[in-house]
Amino acid sequence: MYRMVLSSAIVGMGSFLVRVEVDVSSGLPGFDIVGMVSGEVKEAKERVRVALKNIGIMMPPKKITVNLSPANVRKTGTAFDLPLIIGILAALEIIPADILEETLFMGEIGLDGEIKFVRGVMPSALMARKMGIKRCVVPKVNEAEGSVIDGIEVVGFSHLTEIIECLNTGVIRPDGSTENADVKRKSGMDYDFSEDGLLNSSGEDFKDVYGQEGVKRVAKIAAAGFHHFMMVGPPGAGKSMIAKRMPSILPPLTMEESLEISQIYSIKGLLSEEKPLILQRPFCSPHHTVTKQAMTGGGYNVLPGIISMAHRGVLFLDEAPHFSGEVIEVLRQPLEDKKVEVSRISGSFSFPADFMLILACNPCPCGYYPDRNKCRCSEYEIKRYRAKLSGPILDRIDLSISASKISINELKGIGKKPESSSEMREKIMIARQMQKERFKDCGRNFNSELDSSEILDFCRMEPSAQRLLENAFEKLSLSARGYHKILKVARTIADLEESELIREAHIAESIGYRVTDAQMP
Amino acid sequence: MKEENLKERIIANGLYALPGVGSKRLIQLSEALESREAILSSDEEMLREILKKQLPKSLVKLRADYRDNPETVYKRMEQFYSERENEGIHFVYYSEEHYPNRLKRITDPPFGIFYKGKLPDQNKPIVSIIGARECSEYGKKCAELFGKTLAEYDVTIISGMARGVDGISQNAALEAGGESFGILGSGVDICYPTANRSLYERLIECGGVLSEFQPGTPAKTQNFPARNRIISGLCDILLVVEARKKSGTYITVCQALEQGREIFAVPGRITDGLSDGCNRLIAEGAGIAADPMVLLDALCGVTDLFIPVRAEVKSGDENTGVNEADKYEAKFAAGSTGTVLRAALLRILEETPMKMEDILELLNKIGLDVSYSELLCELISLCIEGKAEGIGNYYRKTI
Repeated sequence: MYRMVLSSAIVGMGSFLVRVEVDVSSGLPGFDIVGMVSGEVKEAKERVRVALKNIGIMMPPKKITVNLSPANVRKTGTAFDLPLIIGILAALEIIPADILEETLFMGEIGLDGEIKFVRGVMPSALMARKMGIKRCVVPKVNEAEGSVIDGIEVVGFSHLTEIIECLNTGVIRPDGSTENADVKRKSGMDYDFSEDGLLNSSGEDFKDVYGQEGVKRVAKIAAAGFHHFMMVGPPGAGKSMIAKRMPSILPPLTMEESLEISQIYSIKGLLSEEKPLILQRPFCSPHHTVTKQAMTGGGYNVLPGIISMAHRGVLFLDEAPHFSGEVIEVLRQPLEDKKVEVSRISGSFSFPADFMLILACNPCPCGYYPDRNKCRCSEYEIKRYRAKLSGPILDRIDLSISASKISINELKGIGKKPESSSEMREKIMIARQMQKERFKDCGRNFNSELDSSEILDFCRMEPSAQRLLENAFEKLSLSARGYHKILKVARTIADLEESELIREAHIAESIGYRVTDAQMP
Repeated sequence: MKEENLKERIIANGLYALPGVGSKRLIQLSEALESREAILSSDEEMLREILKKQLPKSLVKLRADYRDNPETVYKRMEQFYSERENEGIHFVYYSEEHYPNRLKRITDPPFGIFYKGKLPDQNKPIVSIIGARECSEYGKKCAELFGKTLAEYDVTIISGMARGVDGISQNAALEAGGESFGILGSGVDICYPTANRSLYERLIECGGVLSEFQPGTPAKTQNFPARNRIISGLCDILLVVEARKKSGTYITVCQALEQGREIFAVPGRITDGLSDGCNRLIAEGAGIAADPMVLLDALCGVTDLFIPVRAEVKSGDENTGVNEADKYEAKFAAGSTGTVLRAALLRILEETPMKMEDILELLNKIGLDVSYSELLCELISLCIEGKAEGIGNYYRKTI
């Protein structure tokens, strides 16, 4: 008897339909799985046999052959356990076969018949919807994640017995209810994408950051124009604290962005029942011992790396000079293309990687330069420390700010009440709106993306600002790139003040945030 | 040079390279006997008499070799000497006429000195400038000022060719067309620190590098105090530009005092850790180097050498200084410099870098409520006008 069950496999960022073909016929008893499968798929044999035995179904002494089609693509993972069992059961006529054509199955099976968590349910559900499949049967723990996708029915089961019972009764609902019944499913549309909903979901708020006015100002400008920035300061100045709060002032995610990010997390297996959809901009802060493979993504079965996990969010490199040179260098192409190409033996994959890069570092090995009362690092040591961040990466950093040691008054919370994240975000949203209107015809989103000809078009200055910039160019011996960066940042500063014209003060402030040799690590 | 003298020097060079034979003993022997050759050839009993102890083993062996075969031993020494000469490394020993006479007066002079370039002119006044390796902006400026001005008055500048104050003052002296000499704690053929390579080469060209250590000796920490005694021993005045309370500089000063040298220190702020040492020296009686002229005056006192005076340099400096100050005052009075903030900033900013947060606080104290970005704007325009300088978020008035 031949039966075919639909399932799905993940390759890179996408998923494709896999047909699990099961044939049970008489002959020498045996169980074979073919179709370019990896070790864990081959092991499914034992899991399936024992799980069936433990729920009281004995495998007949027959020749069982399983083929995973298309057979020329390598398939990995444990999600084929469930479709395999369903196929065998259907071939043995324990369950009816009519439902199989319109259902996609995914799930790992435990020896006791439990259906366990698998990776990549969300992109599989998306693919299934596109292929016109009516429903997906997934592990119970993955149900919420799959349900986010509208236009397809996603049903979760936690045990094999439940699934067999449901299939036999023809009611695909584990608790006996039919579709649209009182089981509360939450599709993507039901999530709260408003500002309040997002702010509540994380406890981190700029209102807790006393002092560091300069760094907060830079954070605001960076968030408004999507500029990459760098913080230089002694240990304990609050650099990480501020970086962690960046997601709270970035504009809320749209539904599309959220799905995009959630798919990456689904493939990594990081979505859970409680958090089936990524609602806040990601914040990734890898340790400085991270390898370049972990950063870009890779492995035999290629998975997205940290920069893809930071997609649409923040990638924060604390102690940036301590990262290996290679790791820093691999960021160059993604910073330019907003995606990363990973080529491995199994093929070439492209993962999205549109992130805001934030670097933090000390000004010198001891951390206190230029305070010579404390810092006793030699010029040579400082130079060597700074040389660890290569020019090409610093070229992509638009803003740089020195964070100073925090004073006791600031620690005690004396002084001005800091702006809260939502207050900051209000201004940022205005600036974003201005950019949206300005760039509606040229396909750009942010000031940071402008190239040199567009800068000429969009960065109009008042005459005094022009003079100031020309003066600065001479006196501070700026490079062409430095000149453009100052203009782009000044554009964002002007946007924050809702000014179409760039004024002298905007230019002056922007110059103050340039990446200089003196603070450039 | 007379052949006899050359022979003497070749032998001195050979003796100086013997392990276990120190400068002190060689000088004793050299002074007591009429020639260096006599150290090798005269009666062992006599040498022991002079030294009042046993001869070092290496010397005993060399003397034995020399007695058996004076020709070959001398040949070997001659080759040794000429190899170094070919590399541009010269040698001078204690009893020679051009051995620096200032060094002869210290308690523990080196028997020999290796040098590249030339030796300091004995008839010119010499100032040694020393200070912190990790100096501040202020230290840099002072080192430059003193190095340059003194060199302009034809004063020879001696220092240790180290990073920071040493190298900066020597560079400034060379820049001004003066002569400068670097005293090394390694062999003269080794440039330490390597970052000062270009200075090292220029010193050889317009002055020299000196060392009492055998060529090839790497820079070792334990050699530096010995090197420092030569820096102080060679000079008429020792000038300390910036020093912490406990530092190598302080050790040099102690040695200079023992050698009877005049000490001058550049005063600094009492809150500045890098000036602690200098201020303490002043408290203990060092001269106050408030101006390079002070040193020139003092040089007249400590040496009977001729100090040329270049009046035009002096008056020029003073004039511009006064004028600048006047200009600032006038601008404050007229209020023509633009904003109140700018005027306040020009008053608040100091020559040592100040943190922006501190400047903000000071401004708040005098009742100016400005935001971070407003302050930054003003500071940047001051920088562009050349009235201030920024290092990270530290800003200072330009000197």
